[in-house]
Amino acid sequence: MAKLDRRIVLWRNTIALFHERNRPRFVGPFRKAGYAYRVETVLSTRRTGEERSPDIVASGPSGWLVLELTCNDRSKEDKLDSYRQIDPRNLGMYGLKVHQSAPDTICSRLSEIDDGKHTQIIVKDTVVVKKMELLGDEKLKLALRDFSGTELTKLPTIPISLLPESKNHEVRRGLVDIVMQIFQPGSKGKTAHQMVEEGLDKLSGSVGAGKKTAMRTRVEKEMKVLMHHYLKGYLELKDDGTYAPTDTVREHPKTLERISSKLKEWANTTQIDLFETDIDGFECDGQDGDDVHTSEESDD
Amino acid sequence: MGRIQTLQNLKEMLQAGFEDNEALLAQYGQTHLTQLKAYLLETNYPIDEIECPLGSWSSLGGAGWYINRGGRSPSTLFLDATRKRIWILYTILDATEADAVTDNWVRCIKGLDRCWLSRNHLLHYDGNEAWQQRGLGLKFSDGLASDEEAGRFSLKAWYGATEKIPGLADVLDTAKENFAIYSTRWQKLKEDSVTLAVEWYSNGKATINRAIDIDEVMLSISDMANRYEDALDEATNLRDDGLGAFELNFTQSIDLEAFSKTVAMGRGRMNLWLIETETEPDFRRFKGVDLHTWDRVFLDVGPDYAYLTVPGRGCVNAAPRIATIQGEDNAGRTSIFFDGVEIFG
Repeated sequence: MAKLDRRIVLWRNTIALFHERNRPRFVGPFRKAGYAYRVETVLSTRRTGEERSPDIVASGPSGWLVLELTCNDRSKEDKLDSYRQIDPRNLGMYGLKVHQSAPDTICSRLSEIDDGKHTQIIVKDTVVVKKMELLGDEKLKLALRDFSGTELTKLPTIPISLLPESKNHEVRRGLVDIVMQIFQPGSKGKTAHQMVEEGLDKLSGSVGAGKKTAMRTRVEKEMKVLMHHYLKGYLELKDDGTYAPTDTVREHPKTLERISSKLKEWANTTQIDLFETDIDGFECDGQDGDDVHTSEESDD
Repeated sequence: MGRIQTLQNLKEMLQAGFEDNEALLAQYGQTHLTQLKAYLLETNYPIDEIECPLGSWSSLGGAGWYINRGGRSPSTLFLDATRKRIWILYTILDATEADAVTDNWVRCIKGLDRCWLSRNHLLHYDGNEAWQQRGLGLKFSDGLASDEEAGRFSLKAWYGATEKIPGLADVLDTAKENFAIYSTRWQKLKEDSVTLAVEWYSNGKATINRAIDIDEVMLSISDMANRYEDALDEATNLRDDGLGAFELNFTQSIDLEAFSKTVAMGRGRMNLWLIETETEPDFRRFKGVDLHTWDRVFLDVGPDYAYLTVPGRGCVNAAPRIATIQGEDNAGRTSIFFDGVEIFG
């Protein structure tokens, strides 16, 4: 696993736990327990009505839960504690089964950190479940116990390509297909803002304007490198801020092959080029907020 | 026959064609007039935003039916645009011209695609007492292999005398289980007489070989359109409700290296332009665009399966298209699943 794509892997492997596959046979524990899930939800707490935006909320016939996804090495105990106060009566807004009880709270991570009295799922290469006994839903507990140790390396890609904290090569990898789309014949191109929105996909609504601006700046930085070095002569930045194909680009297998080869180089070589220079400032180990937040402030 | 002004006029004209063909069949043992064809098309736009491929559209009475006027070959295309997502294009052009017009129309207009019929769609009448299967077309182009090494397979079998060759039925069954079906021929019987004979193709085309009642024909074609529209709605809801992927299961093993080279150039029948982003010996991840629509797609490919993710608002018609084309090209019999349940069936 490429170390620097950890956040996307975290999301991909967590989402897979709600799904089922025939080949290779895979039934996620949440799926097995009958849970449906939603991302990008806003819920409120009992009595005070304060808004809470857990990364994932899910509900099944025998219980409901909120999931926090993080690569941060700080404890999420306080945040998960606050999720216990979420009013379950609003689950119906998202087409989820309504319950009366407080939710099970789970933190999904790639490595073990103490999150207090909350269940933890480590979804790196194989699944490890910690503090399973804290779960209220017995059916889910059983499904998670059976699932523990399952391999997670060949799961489907999720539509989210960019996360607010994506940096350098992560941005590049996230943009590959978005940039390819620019070469559609007759394309008017895309702005950095459009690229951010497309990369965030379903998370777009839960990311604040400030974070999107920061993402746009990072996209512009990486696109500059692409335009001036890797795809020089193929891609240009127009006065209106759109990245568009130059007039010389034609839809021909050789051209497409050359563009894809250069894009691959751009997206992959940075693992080596930038890893060394960025590693000190890289935030995956908890130097800064690394999660999706509705508000502008980091919760860390 | 005067100018076609209404849907009723159109039906009368098509009905007369069936009757003339039946008369010719009775007298000479073969039909002479061009057979009616229908193309199921998937659209993302209303009719007023999509130009007619020949001339311009003119309404037939304002109930969602249109005819082409002016231009080359006027009054030969008849569009049933009464459904939001699926149109039916009827035509009396000959097969070569009709295919060319439809192919060109779909290629030129982003947001317009064919309907890609699954095995279950093509075998939809199986088990229905009134219908009898009369033929089958199978295809495996081995499109990832070099020209010298390609083990192509193509078969078109007309049922009827298979029992005269011992073992032939078994061979057909085996081939059917391993390769993609690209056409099926059916006939509908009423009191031992054929009332409708139709050949359905995996690219959503239907050729009416024989018919005696235009309403029966249109109802049959419309039923398939409705089934496809329902499947499309179901798939769109699945995509919109979560972050899951469609799963394609194949009967033939994929050469991952050859697949990677082919899609890097946007070459081949699959029309996918993808970049490999993760490589393992038996599993590769690709991101890129579907050149049919230029929508973004992610494809994770294993030896006999693939996971297809359609991000954003991309059209989920990519799932049956990729399954159908990849099946006929290099993957053999292909089925589409979501969370272990077969869809587009």
